[in-house]
Amino acid sequence: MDEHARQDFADFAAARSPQLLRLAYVLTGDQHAAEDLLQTALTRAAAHWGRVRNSPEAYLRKIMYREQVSLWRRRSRRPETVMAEPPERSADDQLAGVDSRLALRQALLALPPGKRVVLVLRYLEDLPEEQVAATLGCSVGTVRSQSHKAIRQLRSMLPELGLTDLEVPA
Amino acid sequence: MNRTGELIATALRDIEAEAGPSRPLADVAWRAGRRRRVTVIGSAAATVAAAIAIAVVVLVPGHAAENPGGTGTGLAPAGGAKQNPAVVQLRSPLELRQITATSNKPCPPHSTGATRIGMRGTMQCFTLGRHEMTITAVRSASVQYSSTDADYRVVLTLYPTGAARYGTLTAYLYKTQYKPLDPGAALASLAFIVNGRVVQTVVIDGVIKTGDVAIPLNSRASAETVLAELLHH
Repeated sequence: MDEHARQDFADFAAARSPQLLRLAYVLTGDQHAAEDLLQTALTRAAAHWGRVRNSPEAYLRKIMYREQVSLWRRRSRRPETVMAEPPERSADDQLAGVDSRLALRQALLALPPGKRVVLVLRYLEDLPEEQVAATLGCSVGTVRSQSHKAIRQLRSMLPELGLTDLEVPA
Repeated sequence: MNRTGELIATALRDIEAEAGPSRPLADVAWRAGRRRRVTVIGSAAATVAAAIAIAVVVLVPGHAAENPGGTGTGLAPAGGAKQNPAVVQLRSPLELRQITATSNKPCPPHSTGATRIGMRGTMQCFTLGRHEMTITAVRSASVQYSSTDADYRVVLTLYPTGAARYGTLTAYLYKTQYKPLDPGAALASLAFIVNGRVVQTVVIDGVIKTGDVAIPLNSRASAETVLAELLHH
């Protein structure tokens, strides 16, 4: 790798790090863990820059998704805090929508990372199930079951939101 | 996208918006990536960042003086210095065996499985597959601390032949058995066995070509005990 490649990599990292860090934060729910995740992904990208420089962002995102799932599987403990009860909500109708969003945010952060990754790919990245499966290196059936379990868990934590797990195909 | 999807997407965007500003990460990533390209780095459970953060805690006697830079950190000596050619013989060979099934009961008598005794006395029985390797000599052996993963680990640096075999073994487990979300990923797990006892199991989630075998353990005492068992029994 030459100085030109290094500069190329630095330019890419400088330009895309803020966006990628936000994605890492959604995946981890923690600023330091997000920085670690992005750092890991950037390091791997740097190691294979010659091969990935044409489409580095897709490579980085895939690493981040897979790494987040792998990290969770490797660790015997779960860093997430599972809520026994959903956060208290105001009875004020005007705040109900905001409160629901906050409650859902908390519930999403309480999900195991494997399930959260699937939801991020499906709903934030808006990818079809087949592409989610390809990104994570698993079957479409696994994506469906993880998505189903994730929404079922959210629904059990927040029954009043009326979440449904059946999606209408586009 | 239906209403559920929209609610989830909105909440995820809320989380996304909370992320703090990014710090410059490119240069350190490039340096780490370059080291990774040109030399040995990595372990079963450590990212490159973790490898950088590893501090050598214990070195095999005799190696510290010969390699003051710290053999076993996973980082090559500066300036391309040659590795110490000394051999560390393992008095107790380390067996690496693929796990095909796990049960939360001790192995029955005359079983070919291997038992692991947990810290609280719980017992697990691992059924072992045919993919395996045995390590009897290494270039270096040490206990290291990973501040990133907050664990201690026994790190064995293999000779080229062993490193190639370990690379082949991990490549098989990762490429044919590892699935990030499937429970069947247990088939991608390795058991580290010393004197017939399973000291640790790990999921192989990448091909390890560096020649470093890392056994993560819960405490420094556990890691030092395993190292001592490998070297002195």
